[in-house]
Amino acid sequence: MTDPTSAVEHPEHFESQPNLFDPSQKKKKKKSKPVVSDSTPEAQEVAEDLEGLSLGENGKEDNENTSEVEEEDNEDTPAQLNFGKKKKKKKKVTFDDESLPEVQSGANSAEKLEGEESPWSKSDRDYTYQELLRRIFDFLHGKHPSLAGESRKKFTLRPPQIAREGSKKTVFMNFGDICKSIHRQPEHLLAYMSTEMGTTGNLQEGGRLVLKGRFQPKGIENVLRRYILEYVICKSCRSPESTLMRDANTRLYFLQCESCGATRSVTPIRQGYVAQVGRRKRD
Amino acid sequence: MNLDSIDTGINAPFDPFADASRGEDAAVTKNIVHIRLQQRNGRKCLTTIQGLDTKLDLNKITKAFKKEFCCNGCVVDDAELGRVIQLQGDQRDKVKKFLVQEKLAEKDLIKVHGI
Repeated sequence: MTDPTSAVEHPEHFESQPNLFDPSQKKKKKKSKPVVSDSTPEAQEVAEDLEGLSLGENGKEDNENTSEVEEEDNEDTPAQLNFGKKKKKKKKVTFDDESLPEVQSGANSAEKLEGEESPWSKSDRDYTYQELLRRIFDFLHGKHPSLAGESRKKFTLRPPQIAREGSKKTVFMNFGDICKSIHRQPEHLLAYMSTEMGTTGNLQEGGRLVLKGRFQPKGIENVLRRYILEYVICKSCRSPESTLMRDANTRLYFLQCESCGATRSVTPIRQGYVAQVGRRKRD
Repeated sequence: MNLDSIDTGINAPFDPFADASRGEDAAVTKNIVHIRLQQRNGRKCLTTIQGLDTKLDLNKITKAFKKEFCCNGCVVDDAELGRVIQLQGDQRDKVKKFLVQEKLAEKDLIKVHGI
């Protein structure tokens, strides 16, 4: 499992289902950056320039076509983030302002028609920075699409199914499935959930969990989200493919990522301060 | 509860240099402020704030909380965990905002628990 591509492709089978619990959904509005490159704003600008450049050679019709395709893709996967529109805008801006004149000044019209041929092949001028940048990105997209950053797999999970048992108990129906899909022991998740929600729960056969008290699906989803962020996601590479191990000497839990190999310690599950509610004991 | 206030950037754009700017202090886990929600009967609940700096005057903070959030509250001495503020009702978001605004605790060191 050290191969990053195989590790990333694993959650793919969740994505085909329409109703998914995507832990990122709430962040949706806040995210305005396109995923072209997640590292620095400079790199993003460069990448956008690059797209503008490629469009500059083929004309505006191509621009519209590509954006349409992007929108279609986004419709297919509703739980995914929609970057299409924002990108389109930015592309047009760069296309109009900078890239087009640069390309035209560099390469003459005959070379432009050839398309794939490198613009500098017929003249002995120096390569411009933009051209070389485009060249390396073309190579990157061709040979390692996963490295280009365009298609990062989203981590999605089925939503928790909550049912009521009687009036005072809540049943978490697909608890076992969720534990399996995040590769965690049911006991560990149970310990976390019961401390966070301040109740007790017990596991039943068939992967069901019965919690004492009334809980809304949204609340349970929030707790699950926090659990995943704290105990599943690798902080270095953001991959959910990780294992949790207990160090016998120090009695600490360590999270090891299976796709990048990073290790970090996680905070122990602790109840913290519990206030006295209800009736006090008589002395 | 306002859902945007939870910092869950599971699929957020990843900035590998995010913790570089944070400095060394972030590694210290001791002075984390925990804000918890505890269920009472029915739809009533209790907010507890644990782990505030011991130099702070908790009585004054509680007074400010009570006035600001229109709720009652008190300071409880706990043998292990030190002094803990209790407030009536779900005040988690407001408490977090207040602590950050008044610079009583750093945003990264505040942990919100509960449903």
